[in-house]
Amino acid sequence: MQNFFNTQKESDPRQFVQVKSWISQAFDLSEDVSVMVTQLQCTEEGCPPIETVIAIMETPGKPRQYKIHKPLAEVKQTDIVSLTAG
Amino acid sequence: MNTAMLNNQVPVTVLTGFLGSGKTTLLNRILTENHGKRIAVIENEFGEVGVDNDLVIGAEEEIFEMNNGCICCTVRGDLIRILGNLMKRRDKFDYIMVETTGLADPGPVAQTFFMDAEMQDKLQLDSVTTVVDAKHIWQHIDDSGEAREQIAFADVILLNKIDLVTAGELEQLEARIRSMNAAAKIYRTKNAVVEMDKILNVGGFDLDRAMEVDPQFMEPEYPFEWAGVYYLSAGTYELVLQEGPDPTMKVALIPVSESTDAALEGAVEPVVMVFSDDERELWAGSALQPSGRLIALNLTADELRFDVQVDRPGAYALFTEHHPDEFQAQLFGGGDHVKPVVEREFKPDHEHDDEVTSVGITIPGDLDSDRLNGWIGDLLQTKGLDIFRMKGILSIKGQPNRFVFQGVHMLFDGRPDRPWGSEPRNNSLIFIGRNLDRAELTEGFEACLA
Repeated sequence: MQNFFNTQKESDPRQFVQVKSWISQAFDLSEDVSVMVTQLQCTEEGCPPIETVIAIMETPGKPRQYKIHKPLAEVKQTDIVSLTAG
Repeated sequence: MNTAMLNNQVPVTVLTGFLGSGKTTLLNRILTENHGKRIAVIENEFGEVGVDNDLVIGAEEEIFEMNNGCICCTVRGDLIRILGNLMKRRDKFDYIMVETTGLADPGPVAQTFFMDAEMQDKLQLDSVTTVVDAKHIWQHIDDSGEAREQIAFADVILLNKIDLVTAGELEQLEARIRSMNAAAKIYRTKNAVVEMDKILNVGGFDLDRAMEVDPQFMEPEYPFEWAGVYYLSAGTYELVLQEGPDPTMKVALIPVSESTDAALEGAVEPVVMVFSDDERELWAGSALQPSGRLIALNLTADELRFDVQVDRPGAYALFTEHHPDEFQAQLFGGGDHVKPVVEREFKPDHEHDDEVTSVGITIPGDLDSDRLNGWIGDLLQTKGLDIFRMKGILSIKGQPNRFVFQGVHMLFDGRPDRPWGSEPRNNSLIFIGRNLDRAELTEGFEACLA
């Protein structure tokens, strides 16, 4: 079972930096744009226990949010690129 | 040295308080005191005294919700952007102060520091510090959700402008604040004068300190504040009171087996039941019988004297809704002051006055991590919006080290701490929030024991 007390800390901080850099490339973001990446637990039926949630804050007040149905450690560059198609 | 410094994280203090509370005075003091720290200030309150500092950055409140359908977290987009830009100049400062507007909800600000893993890695929320105007807070405390939340979220509370209120008013205010947030450190100040080590690097999130709370807070709450056991011979006595802060006071007088602490202790639970009955009003001049019934003494007459008729000698316990000192209540027999043989004070039940309360639970033993995960997960899912803050030191079965954690709404940060060593293994949890059910929380926590 996923340890609820370690959702963020269990992940390698380098993976966060890597995923953020993939997001910047895929969405062609300038350096000033803040990106938040977090893992949230989900207990709903049919959902994976941990999801990765991304917020891109390019326009103040209107962040774009995306969900990837897997923990951050399993997120690949192709997952990020596929977000741009939606 | 605190954990933030050890991990090369930048400590952050979030400063909250209503307009005019003295928040900016405190900020100016922090910026001008010689504490050797270079402080970057993020402020978004306009119309107060400006701060002359290179690293003061303005922000417009921008709140948004990050969610996955299960968990939602309200964060501050403006703060994320500013912190991101600020961290590019990491070499220019060693501390960050975030000053919020007087009306800001501290929740989204605090959650911002837990939301993004990279941010958690680089920054550490040292404390939420709330400045309270001791004179004017009464105008807001009952009708402003923001004022209550600023108090509830705080690790440190400055009760400022104490020179404008009486000692009695200050006691009353501190008791009210303590009933809402029992875990905060409270300092009384004039002109926001406080030692810097009470504000900076306090490690509000260093659990050992945070858990050093009033021991009474860990006790259940009672409908009475005081009880005393008297040994009385047969005869007539007189309970004499002076005018006090309330027009009535509920009391119960019951015979007990002997005048000892144990006998008093044994009477507590039955009398809790008595206090849930309908009361009978008793006017001054009437007789108070040791019947074990709930009596409401009417305290509006000029002379507040009540006869107490004792038919059989023995030990009698008197339980009072308020502390007798508030009414200078004394028992007299044959002209002499009769003192209780044993007495005890109780933590008052403030549930009905404040929807924001604290619940502290301590249980010895080891916890089963799966059960704990399940319980905390469900709890945050169903009550996360009502739980403002949560702090704990836990003993997990099979783990040699203490596990410490603290959270804001549905988010939290936990880590193994120092080994238990020879210290007894214990679990302490504190919840601060709205509509908390102590019995339900205690039962849920106890069910996590291995």
